[in-house]
Amino acid sequence: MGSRILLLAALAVLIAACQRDESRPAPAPSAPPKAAAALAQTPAAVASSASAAAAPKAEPSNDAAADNDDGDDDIDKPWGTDFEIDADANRYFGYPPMVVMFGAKPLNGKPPFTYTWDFGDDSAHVTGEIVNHMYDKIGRYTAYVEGKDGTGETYRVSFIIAVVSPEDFATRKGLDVSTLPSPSPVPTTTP
Amino acid sequence: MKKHLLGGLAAVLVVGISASVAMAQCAFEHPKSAKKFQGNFVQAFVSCGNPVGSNSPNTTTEGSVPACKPPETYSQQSGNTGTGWSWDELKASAQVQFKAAVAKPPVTPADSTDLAVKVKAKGIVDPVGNANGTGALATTARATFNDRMNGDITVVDFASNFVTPVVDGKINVKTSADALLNGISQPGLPHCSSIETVTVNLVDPNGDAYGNLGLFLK
Repeated sequence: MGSRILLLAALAVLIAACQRDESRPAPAPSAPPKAAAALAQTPAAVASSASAAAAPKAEPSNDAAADNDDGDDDIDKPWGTDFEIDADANRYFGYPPMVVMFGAKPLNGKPPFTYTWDFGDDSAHVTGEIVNHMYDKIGRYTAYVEGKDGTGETYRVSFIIAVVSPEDFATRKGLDVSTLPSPSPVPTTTP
Repeated sequence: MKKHLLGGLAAVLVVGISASVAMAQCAFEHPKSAKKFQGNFVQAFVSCGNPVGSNSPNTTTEGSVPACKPPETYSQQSGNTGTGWSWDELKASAQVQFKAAVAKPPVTPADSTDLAVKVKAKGIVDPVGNANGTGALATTARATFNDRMNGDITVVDFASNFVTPVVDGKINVKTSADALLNGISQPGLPHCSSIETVTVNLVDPNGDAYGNLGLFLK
């Protein structure tokens, strides 16, 4: 029994070793002195160096090259070095009185940061990182926050918010209007 | 003790059966998951050789495929080149994202879902410089869902526009599908909703499309 276990264990180790060997790429030829020098250069210099062909692992993949090209492929991250903020609302659709919690944060830039909010309903502008605003009339509102960093750079994020009657809200959500809380409770979560 | 166990088991079965009954109508074909759709915008050009609204082929590619020369933007086609928007080829980039929204309190109806919509762009220009004004994101979508009254249905393609304010050549707008659908008198999206994006365009204040989903290969 004990020898069987030992045999099985040995087989498992052998199989694992074989699999590792199969998945391992063929060893690169030893780099000549010029390639070794190129590896110490910047990636761009390596990519443009003819001798770098002898050391394929040092070259960026096509994907990496594309990503490094402009860095504008992710909508959730800052694009380039220009000042940007991210901001969000905790709800975009509801019925009056509808309290919306807005929040903003810098994605880059230099402090101090300020945020000025326009709620799109002719109310006064307010400032702050996280703000609450109550929409008490039915309508479609375009609100925005303008962030400013310490160098005076600005960036704006806008929000389209729809406030409908409780009846419309219930219809669109497949609810019984009599079950809707009124007035809408104040949100407890941050955007 | 046995009674408690049996009671618990019965409760689990009831919940399980209720859940399967609630999902039973979602019988149309769908993937397990498709929670996020994201795409880049490129310059929108008038199509060539299509039955409706396109230019007529007047040349061919080197492989003899019919083609239209020169390429024509919608601003050029409508004669709005003096005010139309396009892209700064040195810095422009634009994306749209539709993402299943996480329900947030205080109102989280059990029978509804929502999509977060986000548009971000930079480098939008007019003939003078960075564009400023109010454009739109114009979408046409095809929705198939488990209607609360009629079960599984595919709705006629519906168009939806929402404003995309452009400030200094940049857009960053967020909203939700519920807010957009309300504007066109469409019901909210119930659970088990499949949304096909038929067209997604950025439109300038003249109503001319300047952005269409696609890729630009350097």
